[in-house]
Amino acid sequence: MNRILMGTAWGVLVAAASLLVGSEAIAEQNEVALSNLQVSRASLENGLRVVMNQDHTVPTVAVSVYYDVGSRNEVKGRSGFAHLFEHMMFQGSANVGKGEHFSLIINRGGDANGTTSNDRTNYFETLPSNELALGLWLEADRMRSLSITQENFENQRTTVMEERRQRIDNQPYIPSMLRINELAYGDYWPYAHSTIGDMQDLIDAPLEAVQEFFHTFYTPNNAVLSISGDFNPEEAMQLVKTYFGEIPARETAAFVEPPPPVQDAERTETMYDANATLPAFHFAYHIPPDRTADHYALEILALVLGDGESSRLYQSLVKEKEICQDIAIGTDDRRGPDLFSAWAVMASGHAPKEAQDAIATEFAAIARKGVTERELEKAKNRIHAAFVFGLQSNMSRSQRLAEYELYWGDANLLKLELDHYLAVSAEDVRRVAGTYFEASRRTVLNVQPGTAPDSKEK
Amino acid sequence: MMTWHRFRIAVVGLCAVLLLAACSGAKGSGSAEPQSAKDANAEAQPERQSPPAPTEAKDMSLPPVQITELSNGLQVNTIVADQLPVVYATLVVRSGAESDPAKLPGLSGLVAQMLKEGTTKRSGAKVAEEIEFLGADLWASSDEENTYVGVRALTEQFDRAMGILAEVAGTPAFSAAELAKLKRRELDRLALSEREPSYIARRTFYRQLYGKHPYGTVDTNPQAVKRVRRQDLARWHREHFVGKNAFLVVAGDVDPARVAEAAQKTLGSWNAGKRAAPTYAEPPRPSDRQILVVDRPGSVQSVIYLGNLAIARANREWIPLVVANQVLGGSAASRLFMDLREKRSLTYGAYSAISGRVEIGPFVAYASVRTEVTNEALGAFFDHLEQINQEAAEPEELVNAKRYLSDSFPLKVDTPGKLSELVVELRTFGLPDDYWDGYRQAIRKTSASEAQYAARNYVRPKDAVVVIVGQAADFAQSLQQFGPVTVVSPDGELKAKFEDKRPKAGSSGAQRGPIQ
Repeated sequence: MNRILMGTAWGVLVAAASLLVGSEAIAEQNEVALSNLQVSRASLENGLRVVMNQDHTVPTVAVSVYYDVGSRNEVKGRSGFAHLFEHMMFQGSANVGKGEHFSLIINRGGDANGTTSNDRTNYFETLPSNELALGLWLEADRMRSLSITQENFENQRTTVMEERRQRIDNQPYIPSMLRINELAYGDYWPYAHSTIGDMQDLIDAPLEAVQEFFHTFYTPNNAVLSISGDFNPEEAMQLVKTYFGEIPARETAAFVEPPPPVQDAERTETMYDANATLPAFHFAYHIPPDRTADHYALEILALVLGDGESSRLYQSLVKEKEICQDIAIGTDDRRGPDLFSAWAVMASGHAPKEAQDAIATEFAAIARKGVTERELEKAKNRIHAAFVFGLQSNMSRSQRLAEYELYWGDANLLKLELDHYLAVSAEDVRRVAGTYFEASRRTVLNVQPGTAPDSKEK
Repeated sequence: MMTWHRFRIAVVGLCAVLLLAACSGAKGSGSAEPQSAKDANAEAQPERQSPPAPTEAKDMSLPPVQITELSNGLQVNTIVADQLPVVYATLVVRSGAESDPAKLPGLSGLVAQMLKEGTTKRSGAKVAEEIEFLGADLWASSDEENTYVGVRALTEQFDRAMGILAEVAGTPAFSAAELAKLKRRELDRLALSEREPSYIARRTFYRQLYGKHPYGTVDTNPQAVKRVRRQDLARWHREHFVGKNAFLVVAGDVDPARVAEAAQKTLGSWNAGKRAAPTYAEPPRPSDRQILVVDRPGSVQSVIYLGNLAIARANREWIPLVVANQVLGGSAASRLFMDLREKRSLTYGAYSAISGRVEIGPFVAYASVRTEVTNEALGAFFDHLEQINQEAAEPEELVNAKRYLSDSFPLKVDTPGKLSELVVELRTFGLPDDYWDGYRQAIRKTSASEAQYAARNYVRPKDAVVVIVGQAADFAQSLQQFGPVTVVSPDGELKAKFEDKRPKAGSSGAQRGPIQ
C-alpha cells in the first residue's frame, strides 16, 4: 500500500509514535530509516549521473537536472552569471526554438522552472507520465546545443534586471538579505556576493563570457539527472541513453575552494532601507558546512530557538515581551562554510539591541543548561514529520535525490538522513551552543527605516 | 537541508540562499525563429528534429469523497489517499470577509488569528507547544468566503491533532490581553504593508473594482484594528461557528469510519445554528475606463493591475472563460508573458487570472514593469485584452490552452493536501459532486466560439479599472492617451487629474503597431 515507506520504514514511524508518549529517545533504532524509498543509480559513459525513483501514486513524472555550478563558481566582475545563464537555458537549442522549451512543456500539461543558488543550478519539470520522453529530450537538447545569441542574451539580461528590481530593489528588507552575506563572508567571494548579481556586472557581461560559461559548466559529467514518479525504469534508461548518451564529456573547472572565512572580531554595520517601516537586524555566526556532525546539532538548536510558535525566542520576544514583530532563526545549509542566522523585525518602539541581547543570553543559557528533553523531542518530531511530508510529491523527491547525488555523491544518503538528526543528543546541542556563538564570530547588520544621513547607497 | 513549513506569517522569510526562478516563457505557436550567430560548438543542424510524441495517456480517477453528516448538520468529507502515513484535516466555516460588519473590515481574519491565541482550557503558547510536539502544524486563516482551521499531521497523531483543531475552533478564549497583543502586531504589519507596492496595488484595485461590496476589502485596516473589542470577536464566532455553517474535509491515510467518529466526538457538540446568509452591496458597474495612479515616489517599478467584474465560480461559462484566459495570460506560454516579457523585456512576468468567488468574481491582468516603460506596458495590456475580446484564438493556441488545462490536472491532485483543496472548492461554490470527474472532459469539449464568447463578455478593456502604483511624475500624464487619469497618494489624497485624450472614434490602439 505504501510505496515509499514500506516494511522497516514503518518501524521508524511506530518508534517515533512511542517517542511522543514520552518514552526514551530512540535514535539508535533508526538506522534503516527510509531505506525502502526506491532509488536506483547509474551513470553513462560520458559521466552523466542518473537517479531513478519509482512511485506510481499519480500518473505524473518529475525530471530534474542539477548542474554543479552556482554563484559560488563565478569570478569577480561576473557576478550574477550563473543565474543569467539559467535564463538563457530557456531560450532555445538546436531542435528547440526560442522560448519553445516552456511552451512545449506547458502545452502538454506540464510545469517547469529553474533556480540558481550559491551551490548549484537546477532545471525541472513535472509532466503527465506519458510525456517522459519529451522532458528528457528537452533537457538533452539544451545540454548538448544551447542557442547563445546576442538577441537572446540582451533579452534575458533585461529580464533579469527587471527581476532584480521587482524582487529585491523595490521590496522592504530584501536588500539587507544580500548585504548580510557580503559582510559576514567578507573576503570569501563564493558566498559573499549575491546570486542575483551586481547590476553593473550584468550590464558589462559580454556574450563570449556566456559561451564560455556554457562550455565550462554545462557538461554531462558536471550534471545529475533525476527522475521520480510513474515510469518504467528500463524504458526510461533507454530514453536517457538515446538522448544523452552521445553528448560528449568535456573538462570542467573544478570549484577552487578558497581558504575558509576567518573572523576574529565582531563586525557591525547599519544600513538604511527606504521601503522599511520598522528597524530590523541580522545576526550571522560562522558554522561548519552542511551535513557535518555539528551542523545537525546546530539545526536542532535553531529549531529549539526559532521554529514554530512554541519556540523559545518566538515565545519570549514576539509573544511575551513584544519586542519583535517577527523572528526567524536558521542555518543556511550551504555545501561550504555555513552561517547560523537570526533575522528579526522589531516591534514599533523597540530597538534591535533589546532583541540582540536576549538572543545572546539565550545562547549562553543553552550553553550552560542545555535544552530540555521535551524540547529535543519536539524538534526531532518536527524533523521526522517534515521528512515524511517532504516525500509527498514526485518533484520534491526528484529534487532532493538529485541534490544528494550532486553534493554528497550518493542519492541513497537521503535515506539515512533522518538518523543523523535523531542521533543528536541534548549534550550535543549544549556543546554547539557553547562553541559557535562568541561575539567575535558574529556579524551584525542593523536595518534602519528611511535614508542614510550621508546617503551611502547599497 | 529541511524545508520548514512555517504557517505563521513571517514578515520576511530568512532567505540567505536566494533561489531565483527563471520562470521563462515560450512562444505559443511553435514557429521557429531564425537562429543566427549560433554558438560555434553547437553544430548547425540542417533540419530540426521534432519533439518526441507522447505515449498512450493513462487515465486516472479521483478517489471518492465519503460524506457523512453529524447530528448538528456539520458535513464530514473524507478522502482516502494512503500512499504516505499523513493526514490533512481542514475545518471550513462558510463565512469569511463577506460577513465582516461594515465598521470592522477584516473581523473574520482577526477571529481566525485569535483562535490560536488560547482556548478556555489552555493558553495559546500551550496549544502551539502541544501541536508542534506532535510534529504537526495547525493554521487558521480566512478569505472572502470562508474561515479555515487546519492541521496536517502524521496519521498516528490524527486523533490528537483533531482534538486540538476542534478545541481551537470551538472554544477560543478571545482573551483581552492576547487581543491587545494581536492588535499591536497587526498595526505594525499593516504599516509595513503600506510600503509594499504590490499590496497597495491590490488593495486599491479591489476597492475600485468592488466599491462597498465585501470583495472590495482585501485586508483589515488600522481603524478597524483599533476599534475591535473581544465581544465583537466572540459574537462573530458564536454566530458563524455552527454545525450548519461548517464542513470538515479530511484527506490522507485514514479510515472514513474513524474520521466520522473523531469528528462526532470533537465537533458533534457544536450548536446546529443556521447557514449564514451574507448580504452583498451592489458593486459599481462602470461604463468607461478609469485609470488611477497611486504615487509612490522613489519606486523603481510600476505595479499594474487592470480588470473588470467577470462571473461567479459556479457560472457555467467558467470553463470557457478559463480557456480564454489561458490563451491570454494564464501561464508563461500565454500571450501576455510571450509579448511583454519574452519579446519586449518590459517585465519579469505578465499574467492574467480569473478568481473563483461565490458572487461575481474578478478578471485581472497584472505585471510589475520598470518605470520608464509604464506607458508602453499599459498599451500592450489594452491591445491584448482588446484582441481576446474581439477575435477568436488561433486553433493551435486553443488546442494548447485546452491541453495544458486538462492534462496538467494530475499535477494538481498529487498530494492529500491538494485533494482536500478540490473538495473545499466544490463545497464553497456549490459545484456538483462529480464536477472534478468531468472537469478535464469539459475543458476538452470547449469550442473556439464558446471561449471567444466568454472573453467578449468578461474581458472588457473598454470599461476596465486600472490601478498603477509607481513614481507618477514619470508617466501619469502620458497615460491620458488611454483614458482619464487620477493621481492619488497611497492614503487616497487627490494629487492630480489628467483629462481623457483617447483618439476620438476609431479603436483605442489604432496608431500602435501590430501585436503578436
